[in-house]
Amino acid sequence: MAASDDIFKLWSNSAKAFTEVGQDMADAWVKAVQPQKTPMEEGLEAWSDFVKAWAPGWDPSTAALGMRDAAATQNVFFQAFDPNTWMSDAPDQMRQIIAQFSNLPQFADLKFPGLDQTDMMQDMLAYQKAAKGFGDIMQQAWLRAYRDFTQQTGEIDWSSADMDDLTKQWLKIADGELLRTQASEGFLEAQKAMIQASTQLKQRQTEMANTWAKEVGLPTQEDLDDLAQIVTELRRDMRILRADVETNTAKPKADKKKAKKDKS
Amino acid sequence: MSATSEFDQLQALWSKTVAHMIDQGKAALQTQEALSRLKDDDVQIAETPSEIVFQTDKVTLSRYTPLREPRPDLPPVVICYGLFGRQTMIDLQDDRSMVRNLLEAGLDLYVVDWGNPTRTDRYTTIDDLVLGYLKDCVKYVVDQNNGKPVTLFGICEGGTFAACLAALEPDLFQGLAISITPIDFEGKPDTYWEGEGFLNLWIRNLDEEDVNKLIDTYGNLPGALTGQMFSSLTPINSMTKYSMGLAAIQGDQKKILNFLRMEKWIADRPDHPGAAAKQWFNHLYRENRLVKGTFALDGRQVDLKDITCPVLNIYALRDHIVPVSSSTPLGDFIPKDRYTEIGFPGGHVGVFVSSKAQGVVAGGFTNWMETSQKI
Repeated sequence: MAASDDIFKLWSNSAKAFTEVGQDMADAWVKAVQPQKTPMEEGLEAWSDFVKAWAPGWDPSTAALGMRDAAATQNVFFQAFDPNTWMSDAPDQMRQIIAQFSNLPQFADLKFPGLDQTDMMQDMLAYQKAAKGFGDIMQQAWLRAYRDFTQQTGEIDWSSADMDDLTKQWLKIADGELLRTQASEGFLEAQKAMIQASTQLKQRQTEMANTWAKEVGLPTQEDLDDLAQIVTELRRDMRILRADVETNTAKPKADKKKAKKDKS
Repeated sequence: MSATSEFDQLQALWSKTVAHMIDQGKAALQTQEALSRLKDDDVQIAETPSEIVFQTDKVTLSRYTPLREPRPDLPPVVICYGLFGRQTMIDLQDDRSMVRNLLEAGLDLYVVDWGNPTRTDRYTTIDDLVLGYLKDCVKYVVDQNNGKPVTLFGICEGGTFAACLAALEPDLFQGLAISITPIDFEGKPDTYWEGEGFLNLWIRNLDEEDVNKLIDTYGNLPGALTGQMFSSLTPINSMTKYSMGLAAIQGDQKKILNFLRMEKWIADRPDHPGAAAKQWFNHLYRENRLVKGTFALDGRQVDLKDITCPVLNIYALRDHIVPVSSSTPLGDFIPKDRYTEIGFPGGHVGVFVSSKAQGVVAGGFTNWMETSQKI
């Protein structure tokens, strides 16, 4: 038995070595005859090397991690309905790199057209993060409501339970939990952060729209606002002037009337 | 519990759940069927006839066509709503219309419509709204009343405006009524019931810079944004009104029309002029200047003690937007013999649109006019 085992081992090793040699030969042949890299592939590689030079730990694949994972699972359909998927956060690494680009020193005579886009991307990621923070607070509230309801209904006899009453009970529990959450410190902080982030993003979009309008020679929102401000202030001045005139006209009349009354 | 009884429980639960879902589905189908027979034109609000009698920029003043001869012994009444909603709420439908009730009581009734502010109105301030547009409207009615003072009825934000105008121009007024109106914008947070005072809490949590940036970014305070804010004050109600709420109506045409009229009013939410919104949130909500005596319009300090006419304050005991403790402090500024309160046992909008409110509010208002302003 031992001799046959040795022979089997010998054959196995030989076959493995043969396969490996064949694989090496095939690789060498593919390398020799494969077409040159396309400019796109070369460009991507160069870009990747360039990014790594700025951020040595950067793994470009992390940016697409969420999507790749989603595609790899069998639950893509269900994930589409999972708020966590919509609210998933961009990797911190991406945030850092974009911040690094956005904060580059600027030169007087050189324009980097992509900088506006980078700023907007940064604001978008900040909003995404704030929205996720807000979503987390609300998700926790729902979880507490589910738990409360489950605890409260754990001992009931389902055969005699009234579904309308149960529904009302659920809504009351959920409403109470949401209302308490909406008055909590965590909610207030998350709400404030989300308002700040969404406002910043909207402001950046407006700035970009203004830049575009200037480029193509259209009046910007700022131009129109200037006009509106002038008109409003003129109207206000006229209103105050009119009120002053009325007061000044009314006062002598009243004084005259009073003097006449005193005299009589 | 044995395995059999657990199974029986599960089976009972399953049967009940399915039966409940079928019942809900049937109810929803009945409503859907009734909805499919309606058109948008079938849903009308604010149908009491009126005529525009005065206009200044986008702001109009309308006089309601009297339903009976106006009483000469009572002064004309000018109704002024705020800019976070539309004055159509006071005339939602024939049987829920404060306007109709007041006209039937023989009052000569006018209403201010702020129009639809656009981006060009972003620099309009509360000074402009109160000492400009509102004062002009009131003066028009005073002129129509042979120079004699009138009664101003301010609702919600319009109540705050009315109180400011009555303090700064007391000679124009024979009476001042306010309803669901914030005066003390801090209120008493320690006494809030669950869900009360979110606006006060949320806005006071923001910095001045946050408020200014938000409003500057949009120009005005968009109506859609305030609509969302109001919806989030009652989260479960807002989430279920189009599902369980509509299903519960079970196809009842009258109830569906009531529901849709309310929806029509809610959807018609104007943008709030930006500069005025900044004052509203920063000076009033955040800094509470009105009760501190530091709120000024056109450089004139608003002192609520300068209100010289009789005052009626109608508030809602379950108001989730304007807490009772925000509204009743007006009484601290008015002598007791000139100050009357009516606490309505309902919510913010319920004061005007609920069926039980019709007698309470319109009746209370008319009684107050008869006792305090009869000539």
